[in-house]
Amino acid sequence: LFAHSPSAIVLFRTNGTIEDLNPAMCRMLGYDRKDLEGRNWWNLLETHSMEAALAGIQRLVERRPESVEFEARMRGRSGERIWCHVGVALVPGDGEDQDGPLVQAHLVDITSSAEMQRELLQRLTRLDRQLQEEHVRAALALRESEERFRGVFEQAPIGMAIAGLDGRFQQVNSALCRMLGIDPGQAAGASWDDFLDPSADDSANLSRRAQRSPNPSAILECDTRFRARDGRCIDVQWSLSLARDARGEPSCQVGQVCDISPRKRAEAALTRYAADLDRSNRDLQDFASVASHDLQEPLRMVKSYLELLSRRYKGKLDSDADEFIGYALEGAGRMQNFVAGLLAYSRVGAPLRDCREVDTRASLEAALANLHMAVRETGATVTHSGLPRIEADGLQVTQLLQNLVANSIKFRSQEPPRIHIEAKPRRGHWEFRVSDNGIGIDPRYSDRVFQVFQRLHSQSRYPGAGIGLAVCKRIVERHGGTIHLEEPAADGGATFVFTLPDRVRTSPSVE
Amino acid sequence: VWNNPGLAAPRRVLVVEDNPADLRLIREALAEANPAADILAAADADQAVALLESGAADLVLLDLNLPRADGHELLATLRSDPRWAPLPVVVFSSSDSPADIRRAYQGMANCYVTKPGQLDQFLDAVGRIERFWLRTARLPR
Repeated sequence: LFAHSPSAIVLFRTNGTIEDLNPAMCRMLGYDRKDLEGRNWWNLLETHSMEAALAGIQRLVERRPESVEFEARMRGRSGERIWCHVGVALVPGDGEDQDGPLVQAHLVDITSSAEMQRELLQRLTRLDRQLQEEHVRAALALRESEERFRGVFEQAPIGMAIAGLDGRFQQVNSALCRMLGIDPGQAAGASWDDFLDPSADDSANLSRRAQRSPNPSAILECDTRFRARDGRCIDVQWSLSLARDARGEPSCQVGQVCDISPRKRAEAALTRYAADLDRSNRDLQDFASVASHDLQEPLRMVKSYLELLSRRYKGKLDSDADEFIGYALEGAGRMQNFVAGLLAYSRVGAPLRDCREVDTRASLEAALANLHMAVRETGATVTHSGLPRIEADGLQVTQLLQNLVANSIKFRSQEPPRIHIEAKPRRGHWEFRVSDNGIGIDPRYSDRVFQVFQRLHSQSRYPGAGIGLAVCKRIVERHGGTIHLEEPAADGGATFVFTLPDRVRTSPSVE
Repeated sequence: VWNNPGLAAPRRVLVVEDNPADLRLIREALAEANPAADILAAADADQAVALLESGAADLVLLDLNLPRADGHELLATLRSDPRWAPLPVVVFSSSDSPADIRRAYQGMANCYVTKPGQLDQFLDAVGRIERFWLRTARLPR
């Protein structure tokens, strides 16, 4: 039993003298039997384990229990440490000699489990240390985040406040303090109600609304008016939400207040400006009707009676009288042209209202029908290509083409006018080109030709009010397009280029 | 029936016109078109109604721009009175505003003519009015 036991067994006297040991013991420590015979048991122990082993043996000898167990580290032959579970018992019936009583020890190699334990312990220690570090880090992070929150809250450019569910302020940031004209110290105890302008609608009291029907998920928001401590009125955008505690219960009101007074002022200025503009537009329209009636009427009288005078008395008075009447008639006629032109110009100034699909080819045909006398008299040829359908005010498009063609015919060269109108699609709009073989326009005046009453030629050579191209510019711009005069080509003539969008954004009327 | 060949050609025109200069031009033009035409002149709506009540006219030449009740209102008065409802009324105004034209036709004007700015055309226009409404048109009476 002793020799074949798988567990290591050694018999020794308490002074350490080894009396016997089995092969398992030799195998465990890596010694030959003869190496161990005569060795001292105590020398096989690691110094660190000596104490536990001595204490175990001492207890066994003094108190005589059946057995005593302890753990000890043995030293193997090549110096390796072997963790052992050691069970010791006195060998019964053995007399005590001078070397002490005989002890039998059973050793079980537990090195692997011991190491595992130790490693586990180390890992636990490491984990514990990590945990502590984490804890410290978390505490630091918490403090940092609190500080960051405080910083964000305190230095936010918009007013912020945390208030109780009753709307009483708990914390107010400096922007809101400035806005409301209060010291941070004064804020506590005050509530939203104290700063809402009395004229503001009750539904704009978000705090009350939140108190009446707490719906913590929704953010309440409105534009309203606050009144600062010093009585100043402030237009604000106010939003309010309810913060919840860990149980999901609403815990406090979180409010944000943005001063939109500058925006409101700008809006008001813009509205005023729009109203002014609208008024001045109306004035212009009024002026148009004044021009149509109050100017045209007396002028018609002057002209008609001058004509009557001329008709009845031409050649019956002296030659001076005929000449004077002639000049008076000419002046009255010119003035009629001016008034009619001005009227036409102010009429195209009215906001576009009636835009529908227009076939620009039909517009050109209508324009040419209106000009058929001039076309026939001058032998003009008008060609076109690619004229599209667009959304526009049809009458104005006709007028636009008519004015441009009439312009080309009027400023023709010695040859019969040749006029070509073409259109090409561009992104979102069409580009029209009206080119002729006329006398051309000096590029120095390429801007001036579009101004009202601007003329480049003497009245006697090319009579006219200087309105036609100004009307063209107005029509094009009303439709959201542009018009310009192209640099003259080598072969002379003039080319007007204008754009019209596919679709017209009808300008909303400002009331 | 108007213009029955058996009857004398109607030729009495009521001109409602407050501007003496225009009235004179119209007189000239009518005289040129038909020297036999008989012209009654009213400077406002009340005068026009009074003249119509005192004697029949064959045509009313109506200006819109009148003091107090304007031409549109006078037209409405005429059209609402059975005595004058069938009377041809030609609006002869310097206004070429679409609103005025539409309103005049809605008010049952028989024709709307804008006063031309040139004397020749003015005379022509009055001549055409005279020829059509006094000599050609046949309206149920």
